[in-house]
Amino acid sequence: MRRKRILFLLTRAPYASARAVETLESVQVAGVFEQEVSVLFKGAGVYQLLEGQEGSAVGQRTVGKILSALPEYDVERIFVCGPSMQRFGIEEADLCVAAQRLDQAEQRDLLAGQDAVVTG
Amino acid sequence: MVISIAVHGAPYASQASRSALRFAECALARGHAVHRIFFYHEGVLAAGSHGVAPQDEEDVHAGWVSLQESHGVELAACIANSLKRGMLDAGERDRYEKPSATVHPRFTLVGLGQLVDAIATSDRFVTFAA
Repeated sequence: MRRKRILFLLTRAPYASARAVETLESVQVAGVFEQEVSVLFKGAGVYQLLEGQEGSAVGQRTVGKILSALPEYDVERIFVCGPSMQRFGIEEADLCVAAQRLDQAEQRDLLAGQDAVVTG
Repeated sequence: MVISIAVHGAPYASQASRSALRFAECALARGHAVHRIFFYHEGVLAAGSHGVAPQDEEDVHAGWVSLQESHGVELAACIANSLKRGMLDAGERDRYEKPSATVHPRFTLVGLGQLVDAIATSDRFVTFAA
């Protein structure tokens, strides 16, 4: 399979819908298939990164645990939208995985460098 | 150009499926190749053959089936997303001992590897989100 640069853009809050978990499943598979995967959390998607999640309390898988395991799928490039963090009052110390904080210009550059962008 | 398309929204709840169908028809009319339509999230509900479209609305499911029959476009629904939403083909009906198959035979249930393959092998990958 051809190797492509694929950015997954995660914009949905976890637990309100299945979007976060289902999109992260495709992130894992893209990693397994040796694609050059990047993940950007933006908008309400930054809530997926919060530490101390317990999905079982609401009958769901824990998104934070899926994120922590992404390196096992060779997904190492994790980015987060700085202005979104600010908007939702989230600090870097609140995050459950190390994500590189990007401003708007840096996000434009990240998107411009991709072969495909998948929104979720 | 080789194009693949992802459909994330449920038919009738979202415009995603209709927009994707129109886009696919236009791309084919312009001479592009449509490699695969990948139905994901609630988008998998477009594969269901048991829905009855309102008389004054376009039948989205029938539109997809017609596209497949006339152009041979692959209609692929994520199997994991399909099963939990009650979308079963005959094989899955038997495997899980459910009363009936709900997926139209022109659709195939596939793994997420087919999503990654669609991205990797197409010149453009276009998502119709909900």
